[in-house]
Amino acid sequence: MTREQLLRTYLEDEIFTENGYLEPGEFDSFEWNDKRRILIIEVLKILIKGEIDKEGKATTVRKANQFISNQL
Amino acid sequence: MILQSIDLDNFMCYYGENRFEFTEGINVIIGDNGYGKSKLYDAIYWVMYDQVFDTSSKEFKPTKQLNNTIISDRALHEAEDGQIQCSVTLTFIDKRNENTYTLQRQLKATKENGEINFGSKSSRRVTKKKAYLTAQVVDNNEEIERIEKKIIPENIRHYMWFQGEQIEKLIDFRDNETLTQAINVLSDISNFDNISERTEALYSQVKNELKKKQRSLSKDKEKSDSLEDDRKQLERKLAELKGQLKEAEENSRKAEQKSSQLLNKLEDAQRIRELDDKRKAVEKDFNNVHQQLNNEQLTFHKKMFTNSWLLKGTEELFENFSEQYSKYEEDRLNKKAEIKAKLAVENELIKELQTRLPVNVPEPIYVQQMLKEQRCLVCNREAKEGSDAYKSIESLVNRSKKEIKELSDVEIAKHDFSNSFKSLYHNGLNQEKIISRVDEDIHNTLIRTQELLDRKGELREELDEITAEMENIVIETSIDTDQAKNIINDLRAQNKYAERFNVDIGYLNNQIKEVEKKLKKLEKDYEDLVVGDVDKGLIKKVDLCEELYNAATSTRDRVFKRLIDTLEEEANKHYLSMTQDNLSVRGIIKLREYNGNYTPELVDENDNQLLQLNTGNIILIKLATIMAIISARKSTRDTALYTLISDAPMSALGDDYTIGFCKTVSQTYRQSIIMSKEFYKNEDLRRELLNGNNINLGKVYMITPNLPDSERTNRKKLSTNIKPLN
Repeated sequence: MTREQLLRTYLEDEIFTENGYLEPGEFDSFEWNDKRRILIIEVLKILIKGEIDKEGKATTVRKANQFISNQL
Repeated sequence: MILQSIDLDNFMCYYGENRFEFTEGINVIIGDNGYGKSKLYDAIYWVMYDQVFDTSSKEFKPTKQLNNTIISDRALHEAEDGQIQCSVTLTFIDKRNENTYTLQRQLKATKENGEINFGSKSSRRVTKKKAYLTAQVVDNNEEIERIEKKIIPENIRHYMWFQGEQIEKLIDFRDNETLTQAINVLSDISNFDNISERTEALYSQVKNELKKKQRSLSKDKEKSDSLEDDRKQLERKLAELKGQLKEAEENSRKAEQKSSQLLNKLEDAQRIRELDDKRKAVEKDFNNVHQQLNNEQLTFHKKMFTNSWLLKGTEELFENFSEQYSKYEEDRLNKKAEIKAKLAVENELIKELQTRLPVNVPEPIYVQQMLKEQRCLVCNREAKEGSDAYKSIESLVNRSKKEIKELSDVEIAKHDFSNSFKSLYHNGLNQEKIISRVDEDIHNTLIRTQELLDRKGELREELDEITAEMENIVIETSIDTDQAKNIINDLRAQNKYAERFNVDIGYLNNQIKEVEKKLKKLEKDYEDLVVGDVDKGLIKKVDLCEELYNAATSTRDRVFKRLIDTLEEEANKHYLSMTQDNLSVRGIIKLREYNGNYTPELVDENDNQLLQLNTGNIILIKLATIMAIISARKSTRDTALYTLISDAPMSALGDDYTIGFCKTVSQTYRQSIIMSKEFYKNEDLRRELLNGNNINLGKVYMITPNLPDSERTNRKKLSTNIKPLN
């Protein structure tokens, strides 16, 4: 599975539409480089990338945590 | 890539040079047990992994442990002193670019003065030949690994290359984690698992950040610390309870699974018990009949005497005797009558004499005196010798000797056998009655013996049938008589265990709820101690990470469930295809979840589990599931890229499913190589394979040893004949 396929699979979860991050059905065409840069999706991308790149768990978590802190 | 050919040179039973060529479709190597099918499978495995399947331990072993079995015994025996070589060459072709790859493994031994030394290790040579170019040796390990991966990737190897005996282990119903593991290995679910782990760690990290912040803003630091201690204690307690819950759930799952397996076996077990009881009853009858027959056979000869069978055919003797006896009696009576008449005359004379003078009057002494004096001393008259008077006196001398005789005083015959003959005659009369019944008696005895023999035969047949049925059930179900007796008790015990563990699960869940409630209250107390506002950004961060954690968890579950649905759908497609040509038990394969693990079951249209499946059916479900694991990975095109190689996968299926299996395999995999004995024994089945319309057939070979079965143990002369059938 590519990183985009993985991302789309996560975005299919109803939590993203229920909480207003995405429009219903939007997940299917969502692109990795989506310009809106929705925070939760950006964090998810860091986690997916960490997995695809076989990065250490602690490293990925630290990166994601730092990213959220910088954004908030 | 597809396997184009295998060349075997002095490998195991393949003495000399041997070659199999294969094409796309299902390629079948037919041979009876011990004819070399598994050795062919070993040859492929040996080249790839330097291992062969050890049938005694049922596992693959490095060939350095089994070197002395690799080289053909005949090659070793016939070779002169020097080097003996064995090799197997696999030739694969990549149809996309027409590149050809050969992998050749060699093993050498040396022979000196008849002594063989297997000291050396095997070696492997890999070559690559691009279309229209000459072959080049590949000595770069990474390149070799790439080629091996092109032949068969490691993660799917066990589901593409397997021995019939391994099917049980590949999808082990007793260990439902096998299927979960297969799903994990063959899908991307591990990515989702890892991402879930990361989101959980992130969520936990930001929660700790929040707690740290809250503690720094506490109006009562001491209380906050105390609450923190309590929280840690409760969290430990919660972790402990969750551990216990997991254990109880696992125990319950195992008990329910065991119970379900036992329930599956219940009918078979009951049948085995019934058959065992019946067998015992028939055996008892058989022994009785056997005993009676023995007695009959033992007493048969005695009856020659006890039942006078010895006299059979002697009727004439008795008749003759009777006649002779009758004549004898008649003669005797006649003689008796004659003597009687004579006696009567004589007695009359005596009586007459006695009327003149009384007996002994005159006394004999005077009579003698009268004869001497020639004068009657009674009347004093002269009685000259020769005169009537003299004769009259003389008659008085003889008179004294004569007495009246009775018949009993007279000897009728010199030897009188009358009584003996009479006794014999009477005895004969009795024997005649017996003789008249001898034939009937012999006839009845023979009939009874035959009846007992027939009954014994019937009982033997019945016993054989019962034994055969029992053996079949035992083979099919792996339940022996002792186990059958224990199954009902085991089932009760497992149900009780499951019940007890479920009570524990309920209790633990309540405990967990209690602790979680306490934790929540504690969190609230903790928050109440906070003076001022916690950084909203931090709270938002926690909320975001919680959302992310929830999304990751539910996505993982959804993906896994979808995978299971796909697998189920594929397994059913294969199962239906394999079973549609016969009237076997139908059903739908359901991958049932038990506490997070999945195990295949067969259900009816109402989702009720079908129990009492036979071994063939269970193996079919497993084969369908194995095939589904590969074919469900549609995006990977595994079934088109790699060859299915299986030794005796159909051995437990039974003839009914064999063609169905071949058809399904040929339609699912681009290339498959199947070793089978089913087509060896059943010629109709072989014809069906060779002429089957729906089978995408590759090459079919028949392998036979060069020696008759009785001489096959002499491996020093053994080689294998390979005959192409199409």
